[in-house]
Amino acid sequence: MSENLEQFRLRAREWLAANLPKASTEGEFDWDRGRQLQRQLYEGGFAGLCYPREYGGQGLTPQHQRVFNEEALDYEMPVRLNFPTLTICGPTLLDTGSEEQKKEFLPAAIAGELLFCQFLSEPSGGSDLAGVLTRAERTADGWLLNGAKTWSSSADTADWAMVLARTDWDVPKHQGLTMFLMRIRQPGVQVNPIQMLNGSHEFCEEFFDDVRLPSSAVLGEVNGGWAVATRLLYHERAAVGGASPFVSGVRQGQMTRDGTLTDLVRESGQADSERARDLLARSEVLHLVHSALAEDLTQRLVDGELPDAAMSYIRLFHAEAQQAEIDCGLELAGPAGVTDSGSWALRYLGRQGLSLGGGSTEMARNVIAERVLGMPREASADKGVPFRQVRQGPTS
Amino acid sequence: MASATARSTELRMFLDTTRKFAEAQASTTQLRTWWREGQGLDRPWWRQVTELGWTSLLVPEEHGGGSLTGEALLDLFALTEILGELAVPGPTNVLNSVLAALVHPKAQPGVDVRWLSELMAGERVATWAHPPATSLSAQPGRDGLLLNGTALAVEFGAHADLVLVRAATQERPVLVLIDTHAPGVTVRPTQSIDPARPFADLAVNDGRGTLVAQGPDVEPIVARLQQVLNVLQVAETVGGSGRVLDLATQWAFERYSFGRPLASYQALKHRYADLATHQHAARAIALRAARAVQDTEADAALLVSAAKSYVGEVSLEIMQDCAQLLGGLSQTMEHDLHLYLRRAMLARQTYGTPYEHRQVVASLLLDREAAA
Ligand SMILES: Cc1cc2nc3c(=O)[nH]c(=O)nc-3n(C[C@H](O)[C@H](O)[C@H](O)COP(=O)(O)OP(=O)(O)OC[C@H]3O[C@@H](n4cnc5c(N)ncnc54)[C@H](O)[C@@H]3O)c2cc1C
Repeated sequence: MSENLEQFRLRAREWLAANLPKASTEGEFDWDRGRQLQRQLYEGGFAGLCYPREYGGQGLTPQHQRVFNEEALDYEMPVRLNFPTLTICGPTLLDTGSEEQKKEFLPAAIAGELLFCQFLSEPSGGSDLAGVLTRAERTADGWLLNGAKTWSSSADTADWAMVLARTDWDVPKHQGLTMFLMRIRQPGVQVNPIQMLNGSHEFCEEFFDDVRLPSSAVLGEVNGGWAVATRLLYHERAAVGGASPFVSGVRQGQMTRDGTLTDLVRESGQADSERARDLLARSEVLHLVHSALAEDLTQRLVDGELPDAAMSYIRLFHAEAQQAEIDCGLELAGPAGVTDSGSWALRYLGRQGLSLGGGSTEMARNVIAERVLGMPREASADKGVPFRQVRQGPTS
Repeated sequence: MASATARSTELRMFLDTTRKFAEAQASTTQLRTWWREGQGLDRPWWRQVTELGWTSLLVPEEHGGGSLTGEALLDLFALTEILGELAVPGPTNVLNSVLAALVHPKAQPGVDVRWLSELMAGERVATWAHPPATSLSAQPGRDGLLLNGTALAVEFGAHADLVLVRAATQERPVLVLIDTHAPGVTVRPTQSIDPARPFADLAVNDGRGTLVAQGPDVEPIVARLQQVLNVLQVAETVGGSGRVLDLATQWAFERYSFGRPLASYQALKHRYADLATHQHAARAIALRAARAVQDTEADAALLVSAAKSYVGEVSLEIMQDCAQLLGGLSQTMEHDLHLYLRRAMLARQTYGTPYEHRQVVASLLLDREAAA
C-alpha cells in the first residue's frame, strides 16, 4: 500500500508535533544539537527523503520533501546540515561513489553522524577550480597529500571532506585531478577557523602536511576528479540557488531561516507606510519569482529541455533576489539598523558572499553564455598545456 | 476523456497551426500595413482568426467552446505566448477575459447564451473597462439599465460592440454590458503608442446596458476577469521579450567588431547571461501565476500581482538592453524591436503598474500575517 502526498503530510505533521520543539527562527546554530535533531529525524523516517532506501534514505519524491518542508517551518530544524552535507556532498557521492562508499557514508550522513565539508578553493584561487595546486602522490598503499585549501565552510565542525587534488602534473589541468574522501581529524591536517567580515565563523583554512590516505579514499577514478567535481558543482549550483530537491527544513528556495522583511516592517512600525510596503513587495516579488524559476528549471532539466549548465540560471537569480532583500532590509532598518546592532547590517556586511560562495556569479555568467547560449569560450592560456608549464600568479 | 498524451498532442497541433497562421497572415510586415492604414482591427481578418479557436478555449463545451487539455487557461497561456512572440495584433486578451467573466457561475443566467456564440465567432467584439478609469452610475430604465458617466482608456474601445463595465446603482455594484451602437454612447479614439492596440475614451449619456451581475456577485467575477487578463498580458509580454532577446542573441553571433563576433566579448556575454536569466525568470513567474489561476489556488492573487509587477518591469529592461546590444539599428522604424517595445509599454502601464501591483502584494502579505 503506498501512501499519497496528503497522507504523508498528515503523518509528518503528527510526527513533528509529537517529537520536535517549535522554533521559527534560527539562533546561533549549535552543531551538536543539529546532529541530535538529524538523528531524531532519521529515526522517525523523515531524514534523507529523496535518498534511496538502500543508502539510508526514504526513496521519496521532491514533492514529498516540499510537503515536509512546509510542515516543518515552525519547528526547530538542523538546517545547517543541508550545506554541504545533504545537498551537495551526499548527492555527489550518490552519483559517483562506489557501492562500498555509498554504503559507508550515506546512511551515516543522513543520520547526522557524519558531516562533510568541501576542500576545493585554494589560496591561489577558487574560480579556476581545475587549477588546484594541492598534490597527492602515490605511495605503496595509498596516497600522500600536501598543500593548502581555504574558505571551506564549516570545516571545523565537519568529520570528512571531499578534497580535489592534482595527481598528474604532466597532462592538461582537467586530466590530472582526483577527488578524495578524507577524514579531517588526522595527523598532518591543520584546520584554522577564519573570522568573517561580519564577525561570524563560516569558513576555515587548512594545511596538509604528508597526510596519508588509503587507496579506498579515491572517489570516482584516479585522474577522473574533474568528472566528480562537475557533478559536485551541479549539485552546488542547485543548492546555492535554492533548487536542490535534497534541502530539508527550510522554506522553498531558501538556505537559511533568517528573520523576514515582513517581520522588520511590522516590528519597526512601518506597516502603514506606502514606501515600506513597496520595498517589502519588491523583495517578496523576487522571492516568488525565484521559487517559480527554481520549480520551472528543475522540471525542464528533468524533461531534458535544458542542459545541466542551465542550473546556473538559478544560482545567478538567487544571489540577485537575496541581495535585493538585504538591500531593502538595510533601507527599512534606517539609522537604527547600523547604530543599534541590526541583524540586517550584519547581513549587509556579508552581502557579496552570496555571489561568491558556491562559485561566483561571474563564473555562472560564463557558464550560461558559453554552455547554454553557445557563445565562444573565453581565451585561456592553459588550454592543452601540461599543468606543470602553466603560469601561476605571484601570490600562488 | 482523451489520455493526457493525446490531449497534449492536440494542444501541440493547435499551437503549430496558430504559429503557421500567424507567420503567414499576421507577420510584422502586415502589422506595419495596418499601422500605416490606421487600422486597429481588421474585422474580416478577425473572423478568420476566430475559426482557429483563439476565442473559444475559456468557454465551456455546452456553449460551443472547449479547452484542449482540460486546463483551459494554460492552453490559452501557450497560445498567447506565441501571439506575443509574433506580435500578432487583435483583442484576444481582453476578449477572452470578458468571455471568462460571462461564463462565470455567478453571472446572470441567460446573458452568456445571448452573446457567447457571436463573440466567439468574431461577429461581435467585446472589451472591458478597467474600473479605476471608469466612473459610471446605473438606473433601471424601461428596457434594461440606463448608464451615465465615463470609461477612459478602454482597450479596443472604438472597435468593440460591447463594453463590460462595473457601475453602481444607488444600492449596489453592478456589472453591465454596454451596447456601444445604442444611442447615448460617444467614443473618442485616443493615440495609443501601439496603433495595433488602440484605446478609446467612452462618454455614456443614458446609454443602454444589459445586467451581467449585481451585488455580491460582482467582485468575484471582476477578480476572475482581471486575473485572466493579467495572466494573458504577462504571457504575451514574455513571448515578446523572448523574441526580442532571440533577435539580439542571434545578432551577437553575426555582428563582428575588431575582427571577432560580439558574442566573444565577455562584457557582452555576461549581459546576455543576465538577460537570459531574467527572461527565464519572467516566463517562470508568468506560468506560475497562470497555474495558480487555473487551479484557483489560495495564492492566485498574490502570484498574479507578482507576475504583473515583475514582468512589467523586467520585460522593458530586457528590451531596452537588447536595443543597446543591437546598436543603431534598434533605433529605426525598420527594425521590429519597437513593435514589441510598444506593446510591452502598454502592458506595463495598463491594468495596474508594477508599483500598484506591489502595493497589492504588500497588502496581501501584511493582511495575511495579521489574520494569522
Ligand atoms: C560564504 C562562502 C562560503 C564558501 N564555502 C566554500 C567551501 O565550502 N569550500 C570551498 O572550497 N570554497 C568555498 N568558498 C570559496 C568560493 O568558492 C570562492 O570564493 C569562489 O569560487 C571565488 O574564488 P576566489 O574567491 O578565489 O576568487 P577568484 O577566483 O580569485 O576571483 C576573483 C574575482 O574575479 C572573478 N573572476 C575570476 N575569474 C574570472 C573569469 N574567468 N571571468 C570573469 N570573472 C572572473 C571572480 O568572479 C571574482 O569576482 C566559499 C566562499 C564564500 C564567500
